[in-house]
Amino acid sequence: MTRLSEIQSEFQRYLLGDSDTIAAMVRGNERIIAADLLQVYRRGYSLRLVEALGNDFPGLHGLLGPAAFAHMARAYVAAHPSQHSSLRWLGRNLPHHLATHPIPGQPFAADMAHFDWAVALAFDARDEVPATMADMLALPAAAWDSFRLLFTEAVSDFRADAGIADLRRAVLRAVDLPQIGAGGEQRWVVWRQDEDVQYRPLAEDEAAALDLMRNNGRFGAMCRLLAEQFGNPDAALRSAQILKDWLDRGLVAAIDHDAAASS
Amino acid sequence: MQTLPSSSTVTGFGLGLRPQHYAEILDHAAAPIRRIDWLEIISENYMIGGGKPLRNLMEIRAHYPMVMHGVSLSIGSAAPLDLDYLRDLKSLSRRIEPAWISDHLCWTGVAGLNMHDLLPLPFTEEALAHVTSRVLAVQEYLGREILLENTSSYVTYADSMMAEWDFLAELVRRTDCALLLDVNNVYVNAFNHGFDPLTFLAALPAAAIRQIHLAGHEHNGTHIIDTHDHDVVPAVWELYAEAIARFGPVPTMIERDDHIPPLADLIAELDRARHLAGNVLLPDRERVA
Repeated sequence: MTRLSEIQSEFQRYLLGDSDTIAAMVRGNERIIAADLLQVYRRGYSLRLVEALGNDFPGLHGLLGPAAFAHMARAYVAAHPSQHSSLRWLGRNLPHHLATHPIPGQPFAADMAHFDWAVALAFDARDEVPATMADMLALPAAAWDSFRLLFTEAVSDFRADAGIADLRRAVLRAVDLPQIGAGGEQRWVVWRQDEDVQYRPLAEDEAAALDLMRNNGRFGAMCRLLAEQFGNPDAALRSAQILKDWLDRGLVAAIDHDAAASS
Repeated sequence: MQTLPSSSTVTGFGLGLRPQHYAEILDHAAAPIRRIDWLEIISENYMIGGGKPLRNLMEIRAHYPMVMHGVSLSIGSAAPLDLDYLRDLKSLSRRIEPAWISDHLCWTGVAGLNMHDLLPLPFTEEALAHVTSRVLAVQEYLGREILLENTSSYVTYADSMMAEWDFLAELVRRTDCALLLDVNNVYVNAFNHGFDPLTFLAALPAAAIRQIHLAGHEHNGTHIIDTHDHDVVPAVWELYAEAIARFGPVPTMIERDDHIPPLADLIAELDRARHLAGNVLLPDRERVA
């Protein structure tokens, strides 16, 4: 290890709260000792990351309140220090962290984190021109059973309480919070249409269809899934409705039939 | 393809582009009275896929020359250069066509972690050789010179064998990189580490200075913290006047990152810089008291 890497390693360990060895390597000034000046860096590190998480998780910040959010965020950052050059990605593990480290008295914190993170991902995801019904109708008839869908990068989904959207809306508007939890859980999908982030709950059959198609499934398999797993006698019609909805709302980036035809 | 206003003509007085001011900046009808000659963006804020931030940026870029200012190059880190970061930086620069790309003489993390702070370097021959090799590599990859900014710091290292200004001057000599002179940071470090700020200015290679930053700070009596959340203080204005007298009409901007005031307030502060610099550059007999 070079001297430079030793110094930087010790400085970083200090910021992370793992060691005070760096204090012997630095100097303060005639008015204040080095140990006190090092605290400027440690406090700044914590404040900066807590603030960044607050920006990316406005629903969770509002739900918990500033003090509880900061307490949670410090624990999260200690467990998941930033590994990316941009603070944009600091919160990527927060939904899972809260699911595995629940906050007492806050049963919907993890759900809110899922929602906030999905919105953040969709907000600045890559710009894509979505596929349309016209693209769909241009497919050769032989491809209808075997085409696949490529979803836009803005699309994500998660399972959360059925009332989480109402709760988040109330938090962001700073109005009285609704009582939620009575409706059980459901799947949510988040995407971006033009520049506006959109979300909605998914019916169980649509959620299963989305899982299949996001995992490279073929449309024919989606029809069979709805017929066999959900007992839908009009599975083909239901599949077409779902597909049209995805296309109309801008969830689909491309319809891939060439690869299907050749495989 | 849209033709962007050339950034090769960045002169005069600019501001750091902040989302709080998007709407006003995009009000093009009011643009002529704003007296903003150019804008500086935080590179990392736009190293993203797409959406509103990039659309706003490109709409503003269509009307203003820009420079790119990064915080994560980590040019002084003992860890390997982040090639993914450099790829994204280069990609953004192709889109923005900035007059120049700057970052800081600092490190931000090692061992795969990022502290998201501009951490100080020891001013040693080892560090100088290390930073030199990395600046050369980055300039080679980007195909252009980079500007490095002097940072504020609160501690010094027992290992340091040279002054910050000598480190900067030698780095410029070895790499032909350019400098972004942060006048506030010179003032902050002069107080925190007990040196004469004019000594710092006198040691810098004038021809390498492409841009000046002005900002506010928080004075704690025993030390000053570089917070960018206040107006520029009188002592920093005085030091700025010294810098302009020494280095000439270097493009100057106000850097504000917290407690961000209305755009009009920042423009008024920028006008003060414009007036002060203009006055300094006049012959003695024509200066306004």
